[in-house]
Amino acid sequence: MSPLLEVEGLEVVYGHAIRAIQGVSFAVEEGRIVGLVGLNGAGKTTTIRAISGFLPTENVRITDGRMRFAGKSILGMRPFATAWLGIAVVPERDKVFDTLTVRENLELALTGARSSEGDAARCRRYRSIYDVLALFPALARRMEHDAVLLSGGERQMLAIGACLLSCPRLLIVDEASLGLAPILRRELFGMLARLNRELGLTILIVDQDVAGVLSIAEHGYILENGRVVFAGTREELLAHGDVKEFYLGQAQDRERGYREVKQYRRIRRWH
Amino acid sequence: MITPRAPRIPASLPISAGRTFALRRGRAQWSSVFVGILALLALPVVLPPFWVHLVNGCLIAVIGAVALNLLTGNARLVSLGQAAFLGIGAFAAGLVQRAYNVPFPMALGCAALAGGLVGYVVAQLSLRLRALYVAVTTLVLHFAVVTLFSFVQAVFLDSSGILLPLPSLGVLELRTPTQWYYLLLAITALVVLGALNLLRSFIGRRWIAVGEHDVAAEALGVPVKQAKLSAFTATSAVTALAGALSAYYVGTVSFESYTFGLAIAYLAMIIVGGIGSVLGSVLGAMFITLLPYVLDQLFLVADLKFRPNILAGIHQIVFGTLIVAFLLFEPRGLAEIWRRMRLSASNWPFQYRSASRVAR
Amino acid sequence: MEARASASWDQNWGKLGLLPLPAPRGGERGRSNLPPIHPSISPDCALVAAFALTVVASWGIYALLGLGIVLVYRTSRILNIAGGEIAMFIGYVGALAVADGLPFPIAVALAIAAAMALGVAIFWLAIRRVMGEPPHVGLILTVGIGTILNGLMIVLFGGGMVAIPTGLPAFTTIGAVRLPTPDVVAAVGAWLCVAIIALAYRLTNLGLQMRAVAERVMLSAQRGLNVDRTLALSWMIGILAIGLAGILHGERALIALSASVIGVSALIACLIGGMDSIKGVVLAALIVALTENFTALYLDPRYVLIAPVVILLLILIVRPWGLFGTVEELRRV
Repeated sequence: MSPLLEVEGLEVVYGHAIRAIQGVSFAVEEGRIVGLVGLNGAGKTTTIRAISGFLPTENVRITDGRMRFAGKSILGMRPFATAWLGIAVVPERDKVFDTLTVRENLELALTGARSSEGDAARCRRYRSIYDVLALFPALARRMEHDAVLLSGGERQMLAIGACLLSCPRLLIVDEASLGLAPILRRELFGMLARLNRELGLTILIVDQDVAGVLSIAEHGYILENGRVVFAGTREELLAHGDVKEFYLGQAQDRERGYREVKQYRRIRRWH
Repeated sequence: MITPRAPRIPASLPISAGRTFALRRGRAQWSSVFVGILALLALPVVLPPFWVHLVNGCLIAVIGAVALNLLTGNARLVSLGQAAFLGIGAFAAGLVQRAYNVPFPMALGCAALAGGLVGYVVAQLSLRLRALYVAVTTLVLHFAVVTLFSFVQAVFLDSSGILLPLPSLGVLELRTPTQWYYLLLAITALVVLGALNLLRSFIGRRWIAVGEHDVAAEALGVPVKQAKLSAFTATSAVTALAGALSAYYVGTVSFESYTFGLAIAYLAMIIVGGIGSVLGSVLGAMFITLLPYVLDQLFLVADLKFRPNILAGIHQIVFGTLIVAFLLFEPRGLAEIWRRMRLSASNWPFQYRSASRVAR
Repeated sequence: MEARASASWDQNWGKLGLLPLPAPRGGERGRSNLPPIHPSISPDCALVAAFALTVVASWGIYALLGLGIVLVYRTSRILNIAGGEIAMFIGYVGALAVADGLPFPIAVALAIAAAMALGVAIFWLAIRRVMGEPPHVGLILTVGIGTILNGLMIVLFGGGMVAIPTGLPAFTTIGAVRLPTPDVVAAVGAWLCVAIIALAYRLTNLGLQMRAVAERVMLSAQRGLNVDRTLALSWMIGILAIGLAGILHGERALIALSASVIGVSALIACLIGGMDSIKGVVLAALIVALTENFTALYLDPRYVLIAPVVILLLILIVRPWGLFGTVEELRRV
């Protein structure tokens, strides 16, 4: 079976000179959780923007590559069209509408494009606001509050709830764990895993918390400086020396700094 | 050891700052300038008086347009108050003339001073505001100034405004369009050359930097506040000068001539001509000033007769469409079209410029 | 430099409210003369009532016009300063319909349709292409559109002064006072429209979408909202509000090229209240209407704009984002 989302050889250029992404290729199988990890500036958010249709803009161009969602090419599709296809994105910042109440945020998600090809079972599960409230009881107290008053964790829940209401086929979560306390982070990842189990929802997690991602993702891709440097199953990644040293913090000998990872001042065990 | 010898560098290649920023390089370019100057000086001899009168109107418009383009095009401080500054210059000159009977040059000086002062005050107000609010402030200025003038005119002056006497420079009275032409040509040439020079000097480059991105300019050490103040003050002074000249040319000063439509006309001049370029201001000013007359001639040729007020409506439609069309499709205006034509003409019959040709 | 030959919008300010105006053909107006007094009411009471009604009607029309400008600014961040011209254009359409013999409600419906079409046309042809540009580009674009409409009004409608008579009797009796009907209709109509539009913005789904797009365009797109359609609809409704204000103005006063100065007053109200605030524009419209009508009554109708302009200048110095506007971060220079 062909993967739900396929990206091949994606190249994105900022301005005229900065190649933010150079030849990124990955695939997300249907029903799986896939992690896309990397440090700041590796190109994760740019990749998400390219997939969800926000590029090209006047300064940023996609110079090469193919992207296919359920067999259909999504290169150059506008965000509205990709949302209609079933790609839901929880962005890193600006994930909720601050001036609207929680209820209005959720109602808005219902009026947005619902995936036209949604699996019946999945869509039936989250069809109204109250289904989302059943998933996130904490939001029920805040229904009439403006979203600007929510805490970071509640905001995350609201954003994910709004995405679920649009009956997505693929949920992309960008830096979900930013600003969350570790215990909330574990709950969040656990909840994502539950959604995947119960609904069969395909999830692409983009995050810096590699340990957390690998605890629920079956496959993972490591991005560095705009390239995928390693790809594999969870077991392969957890066993890999470089991953253990630079992303999981289990230093073998001496601790190396961020700069050495970024600028390849180390003995690279891959390529 | 073989020391590499520098290859022969052609003399026309700019190798010093003076050469790089020179207005014209090489004998060929200077001789075309010389011919141009001769043509301009000989103009009134060749053309009938009505056409000279039209050219005078163009020249006054060029002064105002160059100033506005420096402010709105280069320093990117959108000003909708052009009519207000023209009016301030006219009223300052008129009131001073009426009260103290000063000679013509001094009245012009007072006008420029008044314009500069008001420009300074407006600049102070809008220093901390973002682009849209600067435009709004100038819009409010327009209404405030015009209402003030209507009040002053109704209460302190005759209802028809101020009647200005014939201006005279020393013993020479400016009566005919031809005499006015030479004076206006001199002043316009000064203003245009001054603007070209300014844009190549450090003041002009500061204005451009502030216009492009004032936060980045400040980070680079450009004194943004002084740049904005100087931009507003200088351009308002020149605009007020243009207003005073126009008032003396027409002979009367009345608040009714300074409508928002006038401000729109000047905006159209810089949009159609090309935002940010002095050539654009000149081309745009001539285009917009001559447009009604050209349209009327076209209708005459096509044998279309319209009632006068319908004609005014058609002028407006053409006008507005020009603004919208140039803004949407060719924001760098006629100057850009001119440059493209010139480039293709100099390359013809080839399509591309060969690499061995010396860059202009 | 002579001004272009056109009736520009800052001449003849005095066509608001209280001036005795020439009676249009067909129908008595009687609005400008003070109403005859009921025997049991003291003269002062009737005068005050008539004046209050004038203020309420002016307030309503400015609030409605300003609402149109604010709605459009909120979603597309473009300040529409051609409000006056648009209002007069739609007013002319209505006046033409009535002059052709159509009853008032049908003429209003026709003008509403014209306004919606105009709104969509303006968005589709012009605004759509400048959406990402700096704000002054859109501003100058609306200036150009206003000029085109001004010319069209001269060419298509002649540019003279027309009225939109309702066909109702000249006076209505409310309680014990007789009030001029045109002002009553204008006041009731304007406030009804303001209420409907403001409530729809708050309560309906379309209003929700417009508010979402107004706040965060990227997120709206990500959530699957059709941003283009929402923008087009917001322009349609904004121009509709402006057009309605124009019709109501024509109903109580006259439609003329010079009367597009009501757009200036409404714009001043928007700026005083805050360009993106509905509460603000309603409150500021009251301030503007009060000062204008008092100036017209006690001083000279030619100077009605002085007080609003002075207030606006003060606001620009003290609180540039308006009374209720979002506090914009001003760059420190």
